[in-house]
Amino acid sequence: MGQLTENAGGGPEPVRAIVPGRRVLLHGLLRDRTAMIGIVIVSSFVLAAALAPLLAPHDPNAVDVVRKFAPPSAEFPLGTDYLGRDILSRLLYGARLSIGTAVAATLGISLLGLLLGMLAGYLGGLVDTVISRVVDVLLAFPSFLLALAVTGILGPGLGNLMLAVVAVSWAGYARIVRGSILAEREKPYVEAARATGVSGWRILWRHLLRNIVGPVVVLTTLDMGAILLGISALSFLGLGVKPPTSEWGAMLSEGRNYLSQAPDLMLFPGTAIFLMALGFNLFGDGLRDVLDPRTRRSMNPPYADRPRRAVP
Amino acid sequence: MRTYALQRLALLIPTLLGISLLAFALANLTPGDPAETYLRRVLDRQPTPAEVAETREKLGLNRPFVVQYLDWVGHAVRGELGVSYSTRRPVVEEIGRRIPFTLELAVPAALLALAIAIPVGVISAVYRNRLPDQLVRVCSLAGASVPSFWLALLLISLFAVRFSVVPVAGRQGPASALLPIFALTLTPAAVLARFARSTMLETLGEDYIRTARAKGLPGWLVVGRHALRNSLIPVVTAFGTSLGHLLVGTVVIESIFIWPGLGKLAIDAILQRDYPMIQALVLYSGVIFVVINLLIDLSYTLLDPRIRLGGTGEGAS
Amino acid sequence: MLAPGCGGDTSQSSAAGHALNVGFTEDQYVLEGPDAGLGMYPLNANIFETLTYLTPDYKVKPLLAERWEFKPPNTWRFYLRKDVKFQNGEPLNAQAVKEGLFDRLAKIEGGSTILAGPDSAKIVDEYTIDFTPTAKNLRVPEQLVHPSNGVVAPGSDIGEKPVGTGPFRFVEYRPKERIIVERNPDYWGQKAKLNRITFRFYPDSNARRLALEADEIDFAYEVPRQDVESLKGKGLKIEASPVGAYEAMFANIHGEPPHDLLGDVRLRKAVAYGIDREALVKNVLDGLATTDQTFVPPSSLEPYASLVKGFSYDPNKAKSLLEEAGWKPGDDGILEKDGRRLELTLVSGFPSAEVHRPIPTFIQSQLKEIGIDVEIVERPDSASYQALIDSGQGDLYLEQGNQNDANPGFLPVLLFYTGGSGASAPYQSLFAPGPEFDRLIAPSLTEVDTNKVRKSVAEAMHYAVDEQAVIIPLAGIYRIYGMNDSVKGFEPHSSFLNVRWNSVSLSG
Repeated sequence: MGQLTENAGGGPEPVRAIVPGRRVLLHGLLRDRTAMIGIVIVSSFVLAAALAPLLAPHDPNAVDVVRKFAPPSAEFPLGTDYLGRDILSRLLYGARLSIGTAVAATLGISLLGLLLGMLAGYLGGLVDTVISRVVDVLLAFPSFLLALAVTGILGPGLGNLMLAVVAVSWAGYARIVRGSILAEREKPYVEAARATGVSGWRILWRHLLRNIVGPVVVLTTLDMGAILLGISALSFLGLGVKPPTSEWGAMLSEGRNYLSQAPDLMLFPGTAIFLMALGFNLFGDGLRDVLDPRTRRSMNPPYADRPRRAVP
Repeated sequence: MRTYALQRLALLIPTLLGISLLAFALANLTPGDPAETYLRRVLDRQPTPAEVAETREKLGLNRPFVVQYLDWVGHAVRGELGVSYSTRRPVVEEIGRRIPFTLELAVPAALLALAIAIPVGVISAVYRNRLPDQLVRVCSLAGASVPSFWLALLLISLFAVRFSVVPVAGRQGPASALLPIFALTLTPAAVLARFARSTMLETLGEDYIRTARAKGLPGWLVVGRHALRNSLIPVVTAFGTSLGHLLVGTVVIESIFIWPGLGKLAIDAILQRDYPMIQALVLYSGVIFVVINLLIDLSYTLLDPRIRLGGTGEGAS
Repeated sequence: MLAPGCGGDTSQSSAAGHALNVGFTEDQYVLEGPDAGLGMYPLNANIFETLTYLTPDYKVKPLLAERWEFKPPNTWRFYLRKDVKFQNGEPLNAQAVKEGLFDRLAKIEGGSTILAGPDSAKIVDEYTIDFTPTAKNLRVPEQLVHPSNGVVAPGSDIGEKPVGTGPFRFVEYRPKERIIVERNPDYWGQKAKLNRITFRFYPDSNARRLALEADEIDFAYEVPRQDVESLKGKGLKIEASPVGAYEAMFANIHGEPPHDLLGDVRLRKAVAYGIDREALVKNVLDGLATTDQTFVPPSSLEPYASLVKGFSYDPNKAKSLLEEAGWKPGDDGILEKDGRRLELTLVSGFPSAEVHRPIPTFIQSQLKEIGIDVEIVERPDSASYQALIDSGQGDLYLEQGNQNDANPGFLPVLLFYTGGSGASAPYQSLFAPGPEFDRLIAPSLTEVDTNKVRKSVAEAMHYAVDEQAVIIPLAGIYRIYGMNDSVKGFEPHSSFLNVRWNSVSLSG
């Protein structure tokens, strides 16, 4: 959770989130400028990616070496790269991969973390101990390095990369979810439900989940940006897609070789990654602000949510 | 305090065990027969099946996993972590040699990030929702969204290629460290600034602050003496995590700048399938991280008298 | 902490007078075993010398041996120079050559290219030595030019402190980082003008080029072609050698499924016809290569180089060949036969993937035009590339290699001849064109007349390239050396193993 970024400081920030009714949520979001900008950015990129076959003026892999390094023109809106391929088309198709893997990985991470955290929190006992120990160990590593090592060992490839990223990043979520469940478990309404004979799983599902979903959703959104950066970084290092696929991180890596004669090759993919991450972050930030009761001026006890990080 | 420390240390053991197990198991996940891989690197040719069988026996690969693991741990605590496939020299020697190079980047970057983040975060909190705050929030959000490797390339393109002010890559002289350090500082600075701001805000909302203000104490005194100290504590924690990340070597930045630190060592080892080196680096990074967090936790108790007891609320298991 | 001079002694150089910083590629020194050659190969640090040496146009000239003669049926007699000393003061004589060269090579499996056996070397007198290879080998003097056949001082440890007879002597070695040599004041020949050379290893060609631009190194062994113009613009100079290397693909004709498609010669020829080499040379390599398809440097095959025709760019012919072989277009434009798609795996490459970029992608798009789906698999260094050769999990293997001795048959024999030493067996098991090729190239090992040797190699190449398309040459490569203006007296050699540094100096 935010740990996947290199040099991210502090791990996940404290988050309190209560999911209000839908109306309130929408209202809040629309009012919050940052969230709106974020949503606009994210949705335009996602739309562009989805409509890539329609929007792209050329086949992203169409090689035309005679016209390499062509400057931006009507035919090639962003110019061409070192093999004469249209940069805009490559970016559009690359968006599918970059955004798709980031979103899929983040969802995978949060679902896995949610599931394992719930199991640990609710079942307790041996299951809890085992899962908690694994969480401790995983949180004991800087996740980027671990993801790097796992990908390196599994072998390069986008699938392996995603697998590695998911495998090393779920622990933070699990810990938070488990903590929440432990806290909620003692609450009177759970006792009451149990007393009236409602089954354990039912309780978990209906009551606990609703209280946990809020923070998890916010964290997931906040994390997408960081996961996107992490996946791009791994891809940049050559552990992701293979040629000629136009994933953004890989494009940036190729652009590096032509730094002096064609900096465009490096500028465009990097800007794309930056904007997308920005969009995710803005949206996540805005969402958090809307959902966080703190911004509505309620008081909370201090230190209830210290930053999560490895506890030895 | 003493019992707290001892408790923490006790919890350290299973985690360290887990780390070592992970590091050991990781190298064994590799595709192919480890004996064959090892031989092929050493001999520079395909080994015969007889040679492979012999090496399996010699390296003890036929023993049960647990036995191999314990043997490895035994060597590891004595600092013997095997020989690199690439350089044919002991792995710990290479790691030890490169730690200072990574420190040359990590420490200035971490300190710089902190030096930027704290004042910026404080100002942002104090002038909440006014112009400085808006500016800080936008900048730090943007800063946290910039891919550090892209920033590195931009900096190289501008300052090294276009204007030739600093060397393009390689470790040579203080000037060559400027770009990598800047590239490393941005993200932690942005993240820490946001964090400092939020904890500062939290502290500023506290009762005792309001009381101090009500008593008529000047704003800066309130902020400086009371709020700052208390809100700094979580920031120190976050800083520790940053430092931990940085100490392990920042793979991408070192790779771009051809800086001979641990990060470059890691990516080279991974690309060259230097399994003993990968194993050692994973172990090293886990241990460092754990140690730093332990130190942070202990310092935490020194800074905040409220947290001196065994129970720590959330987070402990 | 940041002491200047980690690798770049530039501040000391101007003071001490003429220290050169050179950027080389990957450090592949072997330090142990019979193949050990620190300072020898692939980076020839001029510490050692061979009995004969290779001129840039592939002629053999005397070096440590003044002259030599062939004594039938299979013995070579070398007359050594009498004025040579090793860097440790010991004289070079027949005994030293026996120990430091022939006996050393005999320990390598197969006896190295010259086929040395434990009893091959016989001392005739103090400065004369006879060498009888274990099998008939008429190419010994041509083969001895290779730097791994350097004469090592007896009793020295080649993996730790190499001692030879060369114009430079060993100072220091840091694996993967650098090797430093200094001037040998007692050198028998033209003494070095430089005091010191620091060779630094940059496996990443981008990094090497950047180092040259930034003045971290004064000289770079190989500059990426796409950077030549920008380097010239920065006042650096480029010196090119004659053609001596090849960029080519080898087809795996003995593969197991799913890599068994290239067993069909029509498929291989279709691939050869489907590549526009003119466009490759002109646009991808920026005109800094030739369209020679001889694989072996054309100058070493003269006057028979024209026997090797090569393939023109003819996609229609390619398509009709494929159709003839039973492949029909599928839905996505890729050909199919019996429900199987025409998919080939292109492994890039030797010595490393980045040397070839972006050629694989270019080839991929070219072959797509004729209905072949190419999957690119990259390997970052020679060790991991070799693993894919060993496992045979590829169809087309992309390599860039050099002709490093005067024997035109050296590379074809090393890689494709099945009657030869076992050292390259993995190559043979994938690519060996077979008995006909062996028959055609065998004379290159047994003929005395060099003309006949060239003819036999040319005929063998005609077979392998034109008739069988096992070797699919893409371009003839010459070496491009980049250096700054102050480097003078450098003689660009087509084989960078044979670069000599004693004539090089720094001006100003």
